[in-house]
Amino acid sequence: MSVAELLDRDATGIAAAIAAGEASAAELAEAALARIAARNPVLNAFTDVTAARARARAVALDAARARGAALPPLAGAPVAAKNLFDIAGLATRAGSRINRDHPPATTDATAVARLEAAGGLLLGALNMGEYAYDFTGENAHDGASRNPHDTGRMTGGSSGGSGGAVAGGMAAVALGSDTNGSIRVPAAFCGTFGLKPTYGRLSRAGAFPFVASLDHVGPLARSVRDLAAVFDALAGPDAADPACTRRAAEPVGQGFEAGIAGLRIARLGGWFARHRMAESDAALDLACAALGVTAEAALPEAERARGAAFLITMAEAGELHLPRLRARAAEFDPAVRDRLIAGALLPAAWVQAAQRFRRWFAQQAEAVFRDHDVLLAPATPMAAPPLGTQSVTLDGVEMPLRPNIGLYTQPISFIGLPVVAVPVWPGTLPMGVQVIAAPWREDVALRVARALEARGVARAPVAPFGA
Amino acid sequence: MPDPMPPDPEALLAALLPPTGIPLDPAWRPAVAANLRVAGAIAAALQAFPLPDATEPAPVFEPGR
Repeated sequence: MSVAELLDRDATGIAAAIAAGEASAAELAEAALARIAARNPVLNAFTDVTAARARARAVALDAARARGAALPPLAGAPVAAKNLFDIAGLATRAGSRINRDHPPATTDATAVARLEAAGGLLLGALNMGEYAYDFTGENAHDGASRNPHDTGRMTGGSSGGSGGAVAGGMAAVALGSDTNGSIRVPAAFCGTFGLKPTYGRLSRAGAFPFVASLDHVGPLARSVRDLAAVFDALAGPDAADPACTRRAAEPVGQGFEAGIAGLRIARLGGWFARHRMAESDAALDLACAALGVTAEAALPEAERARGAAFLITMAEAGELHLPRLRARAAEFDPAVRDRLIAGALLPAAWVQAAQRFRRWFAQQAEAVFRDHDVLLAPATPMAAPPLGTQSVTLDGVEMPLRPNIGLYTQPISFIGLPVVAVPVWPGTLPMGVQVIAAPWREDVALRVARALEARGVARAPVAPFGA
Repeated sequence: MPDPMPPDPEALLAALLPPTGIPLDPAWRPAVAANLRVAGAIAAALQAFPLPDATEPAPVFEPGR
């Protein structure tokens, strides 16, 4: 097998090949950089390439192997991070025009540092929707990320470059962030696995904020074992993130293979059964059939929950960006700017009502999880739309596309539940299924995701280049 | 008690924009108003849902950090 072919393996598989001496980390780094040079002009996933850093890390890993030192679990795996994560030496643009005037970051975000410590070769920073306020992967300044499975289609966003880099075989693992669906949507549209952990589980320190009440970080990858390995590498307290849990890390690296015997799994009805298109119905049916799921569960008032997430997002982001809106409003992506300005105007009582509703809705979910261990729902109503699409028809009603991509993801992240987005293939384009667990039970969601992968229903192949 | 009505977005915009100090290009005004209209409808739906007085807001704050 050539070194370039190794790039199509998952991160764990690449690390195993390097540990076994099938290739050096230096050779792997060169192959990954060559692939980025060939594919990124089409896919537009990377906004910065950190070639010198990847090469230096590879040399250090090869030296460690040569002297017989134990290698970290992902040694030599090509990785990258959404460009809202601080990477020392780069200005953290967060998808914006404005932030690229910032001085370069002097240290790495916690997640970047921990991923590299686990052996990742950091190849660069990835395209994203401006300030993460996006579900499409289109960026007004850097151009759209393009879906590797059909380059005329959206990657989804806001972690669009993360989806494109992983599905395009340019990185085995990419870090993303998810406030209302920004890991799960690109994972669904690009046909990768994605993990949005429990709110507070993984440190957000050094990630440019969007909505403090709702922001999460996590990985996109091409296998469940990679999600588990990255989760374990990133987990653990971090005083630099005020929301990061003080709970000790709870490793999932072995348990995800435990199977699903005894787990009570149901598909979500109600809100999550409305607005579906044929492809989201088919995707969920495939997952339920593979798992033998016939039970249905209800999460009451999910529509209001989605609305409350919408208001909190507007208000917190509007306030966060107020200084930039005062001074440089014309430099924003217009679609982002108009929502931020409106958000900066929301009456306090509206936002407090949304935050109180969050408490109530979390209590309803707690009750549902007394009877169920895992809930299944579509990630999006539709497969990746063509770039530039403005509207979608759901339940016979034409609606604006952008906000409605997140119909099914927003109520779940609103209350911080852990979710694995699992790629299934009802047709030629991938669709995502959300595997949702109770707070702090990423282990259970990963077990179900692994079962779907092991049964051949979920898979995340590298797209043939030129598709 | 009547349910809250969705507010007039133009009236909200006129009242609430000045204190923010945001210089609003007139060309952006319709889109900002449209976003306020959506937010107002959501807020009306939330405020029509009765919550117990004891239901506290759920942002994140932990003393000592």
